[in-house]
Amino acid sequence: MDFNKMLLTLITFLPLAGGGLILMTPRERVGTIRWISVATTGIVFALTCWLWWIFNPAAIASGTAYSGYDVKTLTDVPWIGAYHIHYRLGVDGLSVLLIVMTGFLSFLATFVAFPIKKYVKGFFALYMLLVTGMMGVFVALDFFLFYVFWEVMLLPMYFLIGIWGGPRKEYAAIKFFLYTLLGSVLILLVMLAYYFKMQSFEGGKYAEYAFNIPQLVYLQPFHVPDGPTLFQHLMFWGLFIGFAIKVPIFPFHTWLPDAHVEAPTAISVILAGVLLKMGGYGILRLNYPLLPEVGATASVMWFLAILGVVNIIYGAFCALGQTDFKRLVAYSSVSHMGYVLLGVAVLKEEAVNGAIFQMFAHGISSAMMFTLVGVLYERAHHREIARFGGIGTQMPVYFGLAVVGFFASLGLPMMVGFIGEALVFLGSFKYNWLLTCVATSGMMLTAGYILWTMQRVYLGKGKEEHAHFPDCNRWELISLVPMAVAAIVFGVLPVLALNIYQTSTGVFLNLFKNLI
Amino acid sequence: MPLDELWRQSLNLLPEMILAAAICAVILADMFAPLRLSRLVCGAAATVGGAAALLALAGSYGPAMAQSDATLFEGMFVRDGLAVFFKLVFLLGTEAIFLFSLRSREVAGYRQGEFYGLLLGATLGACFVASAGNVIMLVLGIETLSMCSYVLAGFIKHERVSAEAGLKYMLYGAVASGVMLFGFSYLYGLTGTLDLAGMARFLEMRIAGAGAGQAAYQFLPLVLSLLLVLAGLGFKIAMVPFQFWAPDVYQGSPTPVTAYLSVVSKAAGFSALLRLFLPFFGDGAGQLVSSAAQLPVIFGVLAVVTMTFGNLVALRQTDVKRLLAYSSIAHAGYLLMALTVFSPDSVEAMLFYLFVYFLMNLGAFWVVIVLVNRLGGAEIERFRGVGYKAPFLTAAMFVFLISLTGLPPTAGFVGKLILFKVVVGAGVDAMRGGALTPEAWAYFVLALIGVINSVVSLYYYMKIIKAMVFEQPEAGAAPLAEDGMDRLYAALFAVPVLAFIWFAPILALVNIYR
Repeated sequence: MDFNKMLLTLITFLPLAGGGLILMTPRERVGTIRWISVATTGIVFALTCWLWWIFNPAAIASGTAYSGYDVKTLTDVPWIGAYHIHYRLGVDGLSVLLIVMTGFLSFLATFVAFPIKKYVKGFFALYMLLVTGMMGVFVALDFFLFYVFWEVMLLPMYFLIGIWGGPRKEYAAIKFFLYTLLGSVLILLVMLAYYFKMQSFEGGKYAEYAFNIPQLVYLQPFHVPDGPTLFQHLMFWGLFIGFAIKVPIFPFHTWLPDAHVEAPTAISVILAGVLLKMGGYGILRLNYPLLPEVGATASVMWFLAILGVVNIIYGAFCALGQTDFKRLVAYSSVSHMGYVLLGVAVLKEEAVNGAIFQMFAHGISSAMMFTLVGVLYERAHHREIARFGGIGTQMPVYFGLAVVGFFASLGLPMMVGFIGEALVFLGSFKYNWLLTCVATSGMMLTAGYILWTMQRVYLGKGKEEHAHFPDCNRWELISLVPMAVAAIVFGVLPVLALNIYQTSTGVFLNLFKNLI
Repeated sequence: MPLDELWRQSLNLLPEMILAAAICAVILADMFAPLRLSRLVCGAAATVGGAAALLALAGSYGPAMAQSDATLFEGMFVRDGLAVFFKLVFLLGTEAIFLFSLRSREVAGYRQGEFYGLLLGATLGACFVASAGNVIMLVLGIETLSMCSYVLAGFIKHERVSAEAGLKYMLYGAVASGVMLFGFSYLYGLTGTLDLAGMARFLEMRIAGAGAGQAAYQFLPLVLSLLLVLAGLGFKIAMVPFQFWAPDVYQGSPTPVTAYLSVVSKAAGFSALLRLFLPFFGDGAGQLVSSAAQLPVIFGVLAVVTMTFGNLVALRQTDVKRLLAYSSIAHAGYLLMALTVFSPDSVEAMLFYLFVYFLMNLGAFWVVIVLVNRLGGAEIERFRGVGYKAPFLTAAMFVFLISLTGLPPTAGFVGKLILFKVVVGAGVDAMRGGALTPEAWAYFVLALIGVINSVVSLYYYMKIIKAMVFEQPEAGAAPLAEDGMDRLYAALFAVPVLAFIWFAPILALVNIYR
């Protein structure tokens, strides 16, 4: 068996095997359980790096359904014949980038989870299932399979928030679960409409492609000559709401502050770092490509671009008003994901490149910020910004890392956060300069809340009550230092990431070539 | 009918005859067995009888059947794939209930002959419903099933709730049966026959002959009589507005009986619905009858009302058995959605869902039976912290509940998927050149209401999980340990529910009806 053909399967299901191993370990052997998780996610991360290394986007000629996808790793096995469901895994540049990011963050988050004392076995077993779900979403090219992974990931998340979360964990867990499920059932309906259409499309010639995502995009079964129909609009908005809840996009964002704040630190890292990207990924993989006519309609472009700007500014204002450190970081996620929507909505090459980069950048910077907040919470057992102050002098190493994390999030040049925002603005400026000017004020607001927070928490005279706080321990360093390095390396050399997904951007924009 | 012909035809009733023999065996065994062995002896006799009937059923289905897809006894008894499928579900379900009852403490303390005998009798009635080719047979089957169920619901004589459940069930049931019989008498008057196939043929002929303008007037009596019949069948499947009995009966009955009512009895109701309406599925004249009789509209409205009512009321329940009663009302609503589309695919969707529902609902009830045994009641309050004392059962319960919600990776997800596929597909079919017709709108809205109901149901199913896992047990609460048998039974249901995300085997099973 060809190793590369197995690669995506391994990346997806190795964590599940690790979870099985954990379940078989006696619950007292906490150390063993932790190291099984570290080893499993470590191997998975190594495999994702190997995937990055061998990935060659130019292997399939353009103009076919699979152009942009990597032929070496494409796996396609019939699964349920009567319904044309396949076990079909494949990656293009966009998914490779997000898979590597997921591998990176899920590996580091295991270290972040080391302080957890309660039901360690259950925690890591569920965590492994979560990793499988996340990887599955990014590799699945079969609509049915995609949907299965999309929902499977909800199940462990519900328990991870509900058992190991903060004081309002039960409320936050069920709210997260209900919101996301509401979104995904809309996706389900659209999936079924496509399935049914393919049975009769062109006389049923393509019935076997009923759940094949690249072929659905390529064939455009609902295409009609004169513009988008009402039904196409319905499907577009069904998918959009489904993914927007995950991103999250105003006004569907209200689950996020609750879930992020109540979740344990490691899970906040995964929530902000990976789960939000699934929404963006869904928009780029399914929503726009399946229904390009709707996405390219002038009014829709306007509406979504404005919604993106609203997200940026509304999120930033909310962040400014927070007194809870973690809640502030959560709202900064809302603001940052607004750039992704703005970048996609205007359908310009730079902007789409920027939107994808922003997803990657936010994955690193928000994960780092949540880890930083977690480190402080471990020591202080509260997150009131007003009660901190002068931490910088008492925990110098931690302060250094915090500066990197917060500046990366702020969008300082030479840091990872800057590239995405700059590219998005470059593209959106071509679309409409006034809107872009409004959006750039979001950058100032971001600088405002980040610098103000840093000042209140880290600067000033050291307080007596924080004097005994030890600096970062080695597990915290193991998780924070790689994030800091990534935040700087990809800020200085963005081409490392850009090169990998530029072909995908091209394929994506090709769909809109004749529409705008 | 010559004697050898009668004998030959009777062989097709082998499963039913075995059930009847098992009833006698159980009653006889109970007479001679000492009291303390009554439960074991009767349970064993019933289980063996059920298993033998299952074997006979499997033996009767084969290549030989395909050749003689026939009606027997002057059209009274139909022998086809649909009947085999339903009998399989009934018998498997009943076997499971036997095993559950043997381990349930609720029904202990009485002589058990009547309990197992009545369960067998109810199943015998259900089997005749599944094979009914004539209105008389249909009514007799339903009544046999109902009579036995009334007694079973009130089986714990010393408990007031159980007695109340039995009485309530009987009163409502009697009224519903009466209304149904009234409806059948109208149908007889309209068509001049009691033979189900004959009725369908007559209606198809009249439709083909009737002019377009005439149709609406002509079919008003038909619609009315069908509505009356639906009252009786709706009572069996716990469809709104005939669901009033369900919560009280489910809560008051011994839990194994509740499980039986929610799975076997409900499936029997659906088999009666299909027996009645099957000729109208598919293309041609049958389709004309169903649309002239406004069946899609009627069932669409009933589906929406039933699932929405069941789900909304379930949100506020504090007793798990009562909660599952409302959930079973909601599931009847989901199943009714398939009856808005009269195509072979919708029969497939319905049977598929029924089979999956049988697995996941019985599994959930098994966990409830164990917990009621140990904790003394089914209030959600009592389930607090169970997850830390019985992790295996709790994990299984989670699987059943997400399957009931319709989340992957479970068979319940596939079941819902196929149900919604039928509805969305009908909507896509009803579109004209990409434009939405009112009919297409109706189907899409129905599907949307269906999926939103699934989301709502997540909340109350997770209320159970929340109590079991997120809340700590009270200090001094009764200790609870799961034993190997508890786990085995739970696994017997949980493993298929998970494994059948690969649903090709169920699909093959379901398609024996074609």
